Amino acid sequence: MIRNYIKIAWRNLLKNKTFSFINIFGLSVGLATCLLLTLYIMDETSYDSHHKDADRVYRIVMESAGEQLATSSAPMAETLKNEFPEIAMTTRLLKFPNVDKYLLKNNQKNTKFYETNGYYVDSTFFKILTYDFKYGDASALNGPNKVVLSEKVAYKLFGDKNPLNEIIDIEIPYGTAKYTVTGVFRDNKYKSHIAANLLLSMKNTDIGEWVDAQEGLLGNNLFHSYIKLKKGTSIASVEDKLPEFVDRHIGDQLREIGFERHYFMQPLSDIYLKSDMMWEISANGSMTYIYIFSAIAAFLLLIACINFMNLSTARSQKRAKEVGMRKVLGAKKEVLVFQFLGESLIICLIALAIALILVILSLPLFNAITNKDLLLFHHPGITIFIAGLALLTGLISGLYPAFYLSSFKPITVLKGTLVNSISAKTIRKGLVVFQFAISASLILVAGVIWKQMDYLKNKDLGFKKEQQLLIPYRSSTAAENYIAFKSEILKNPNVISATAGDSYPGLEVTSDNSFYGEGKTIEDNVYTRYGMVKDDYLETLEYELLSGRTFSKNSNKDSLSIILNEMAVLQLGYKTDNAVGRKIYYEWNNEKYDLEIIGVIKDFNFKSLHEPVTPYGLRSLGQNQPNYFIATLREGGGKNTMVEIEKTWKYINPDTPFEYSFLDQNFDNHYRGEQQTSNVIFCFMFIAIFIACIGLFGLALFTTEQRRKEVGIRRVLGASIMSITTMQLKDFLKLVLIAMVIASPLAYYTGNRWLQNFAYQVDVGWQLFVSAALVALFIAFVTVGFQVIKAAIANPVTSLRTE
Amino acid sequence: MLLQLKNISKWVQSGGQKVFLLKDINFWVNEGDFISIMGPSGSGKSTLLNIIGMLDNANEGSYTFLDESVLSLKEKHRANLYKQYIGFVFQAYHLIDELTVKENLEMPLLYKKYGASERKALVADMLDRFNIVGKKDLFPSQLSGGQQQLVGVARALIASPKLILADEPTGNLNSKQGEEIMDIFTQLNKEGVTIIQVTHSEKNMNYGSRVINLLDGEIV
Repeated sequence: MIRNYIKIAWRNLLKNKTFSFINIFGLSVGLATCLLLTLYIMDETSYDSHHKDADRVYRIVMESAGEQLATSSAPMAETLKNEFPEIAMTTRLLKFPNVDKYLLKNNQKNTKFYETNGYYVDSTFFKILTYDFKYGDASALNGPNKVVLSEKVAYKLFGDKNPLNEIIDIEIPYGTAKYTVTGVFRDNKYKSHIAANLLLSMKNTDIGEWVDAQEGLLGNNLFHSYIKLKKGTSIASVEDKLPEFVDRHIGDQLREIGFERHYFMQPLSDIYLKSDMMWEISANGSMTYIYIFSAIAAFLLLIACINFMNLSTARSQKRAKEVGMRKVLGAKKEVLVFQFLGESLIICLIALAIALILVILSLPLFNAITNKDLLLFHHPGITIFIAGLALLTGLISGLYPAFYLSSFKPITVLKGTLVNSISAKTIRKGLVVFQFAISASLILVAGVIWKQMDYLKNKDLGFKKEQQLLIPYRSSTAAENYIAFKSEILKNPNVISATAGDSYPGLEVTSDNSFYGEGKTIEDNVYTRYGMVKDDYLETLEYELLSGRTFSKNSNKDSLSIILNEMAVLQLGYKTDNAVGRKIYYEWNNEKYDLEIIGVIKDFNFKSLHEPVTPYGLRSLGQNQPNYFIATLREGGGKNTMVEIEKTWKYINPDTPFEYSFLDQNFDNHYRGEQQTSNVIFCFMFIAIFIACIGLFGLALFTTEQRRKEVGIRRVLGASIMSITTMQLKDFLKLVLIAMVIASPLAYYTGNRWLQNFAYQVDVGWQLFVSAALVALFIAFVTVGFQVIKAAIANPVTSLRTE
Repeated sequence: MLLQLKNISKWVQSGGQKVFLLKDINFWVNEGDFISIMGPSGSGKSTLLNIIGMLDNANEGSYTFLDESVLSLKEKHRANLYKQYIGFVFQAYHLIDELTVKENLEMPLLYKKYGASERKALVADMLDRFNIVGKKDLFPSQLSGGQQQLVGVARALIASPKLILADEPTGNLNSKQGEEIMDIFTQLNKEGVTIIQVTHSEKNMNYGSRVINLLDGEIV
């Protein structure tokens, strides 16, 4: 019997090649995309799950003056451990400000190169966070000037050889120190929110002294502090006592500077997906995207399943005779249900095989789009998942058709008078509407994302970001040569202007203070960030000076001056036209200091458009060293400009490598996460539309065939080809329009939710909905148009032949 | 003379050979004729009827309908011609399942661009004439075969054609229903409508005034 079923299933597949192709191919694409997205989601949710006792590890974070910070001060971890008996162990990680690259030198092999993602950590680091050591062990950083490398970096430095106890030079702008390699960890096995290439001892001879000098819990919140609880204790008891602890240590100081601050314990497993604070170690993932991707995966599979259901029931007439005969010959309904379910499972298995091939073929591309290195069988659970997915798909897509087909009454069926019942037709139409509603929502959401991305790239930020060359100072000698390099480079006709600063727009601003205006007290303080800059900074970046003057060329003259933006001036209680010449005050260690406002600039976005403009200022660096050299290049200056600039750099700074980037590119990096996600959504939008379209195509193929007789009669009675085409098209397009009506509010809501991530948002606008509707109509029209016109042109005599 | 066929032939190519469906057919029809085309299955009756109804083209010969040479007309003109003068009745009725009796009757008028009030009047007329007023809101599947064919005939007549082409109009009906339909045809014929019917039955043949016998595509 089973053989009979399989034979029939197989012959049916072969007999209706178009329908089989649509079914199997649609399901394959649906399954493949579902698998790809599952791989992605599995990867994203696997972060930090490998750490031993991960459920007892927390990070201390804070909300201070309205900002969420992932960091705390240097003594925080130790102080907590001393006062809370629940805490078994603590460790810290320091991402040193303005050091984003480390120059590594292996003097024996004479190799040297820059490496990013280096962090200073305490010796207890590996006892709290688990790493997969290839060489060395968790005690690797016991002692000063030791370094643990990732496998990749170790290979670049030493090749395949065991590098334990080798000594390397590590250079940062503040000096060079010797470090002993005491461990190498594998970097591909575990995913962590700390994507480190090198981990250095916090005790060391370059910045160790600075770290040891850090006192007090209030300021210099630059350390990521982790605590591990003792077994059997609860985090709630720590959190309960935390406010009292904070008040006892820094309550008075906080009140003095007018700050409100709360500390929180953040579970280790929450960091990667749920934390998006200032000073994260690196950009984290986002739960929102996990939800979006899960939804897309589920929807895509559903669309493919619906295709399957629709085509199976639509074609039921062709199977009706078989059902009737089997029933007459004694088959029970359950047996038939089983037979048809079996058939859809077979189709699913074929689709799964094709899907696996598609996944393997498209993984490299998917990895490139998402910036990941996913492998199909990386997680052992995926095999079970795949099997389950195939079974589920078979059941979802097979159940309705199986029950529908097996419910035919033998007599009606054998008489040949079976017509598709009204209810079956309604369900089919409903499913098509549902499919297109999903596709239309995806089109709309993608449209919102596209509009916003376009807006972000083109919005006037309040300064000129195009043609701005950035050269980081990797050594203090190069920074000392600022004036020499500047005067030399300005001789180049393709360099319009040049300056330097401790940061540039878009970089996180490290300097901040609380100021208050004349006649006010610390109670009215305005939290203001500021950049430290050299002369010509305003001119080079083309800030709009609303009143007052810029910094003078005499670097000593402006050490007590500040230029503020409109927002700061307003909040401090001045106006743009009367602020110049007024004083602002701040307090430090109970002493009052003042600065003079010398200029007011127009508000500008000094960070990404995720954040609104806040009070901001610029102060003169004076004789201090800048971190970045900034120059405006003439547009169309040609490639030679860079070659000449490099030559100048080499001439003035022979010992420091020449590196550069452009401001607009760096700025765009703020939106990399969104860009990536929108790429993925765009891709899957196309796939969803594609699957829905082949389903619609199949259905059009079927309905036009069903209506052949009707079309024939109408033609004989004098209908023109045009009127018949529009009549049939109208039916399909009506469904698409209903789908649009359902999709629009859904997409509007989702799109707006996503836009909340940005402080500056585009207006979604009705035009988007109209154009999306037109796109959907056009796609549907192209899909069914051919079929419909073909049916209308056909000679009515052939379709009316009775026998 | 309503129409005239001269040397009409139709064939299909099968394995490099011409297989004749119709061969050298010659006959004419006067207005007011009631002609029966007889012959066994596959003798070409329906093909001949389709050519007369301008739904199909002959490969050879000439066909004149009301002094117009049909075969040399453009598709659009030809469609206008049969739309105006010819009504069709089919063995399988060919009513549209999704439309009610009233709507089925109305359809030819829609394609001939009659105004709404005129359509309403004509439909009411037909319903009245065939005694199916009570069935006007039913769907074809709710009618018996005879009633469906009644609607089919009514639909063919509604735009008052000069010629009615009926392809085995009683083939799917029992004898009583068949008689009713044939009586209607006779009545129509008396009113001046030309009728050409294809039939198997001797009884139906006798309703006609002239018989054309076909065998293997030729008139015998």
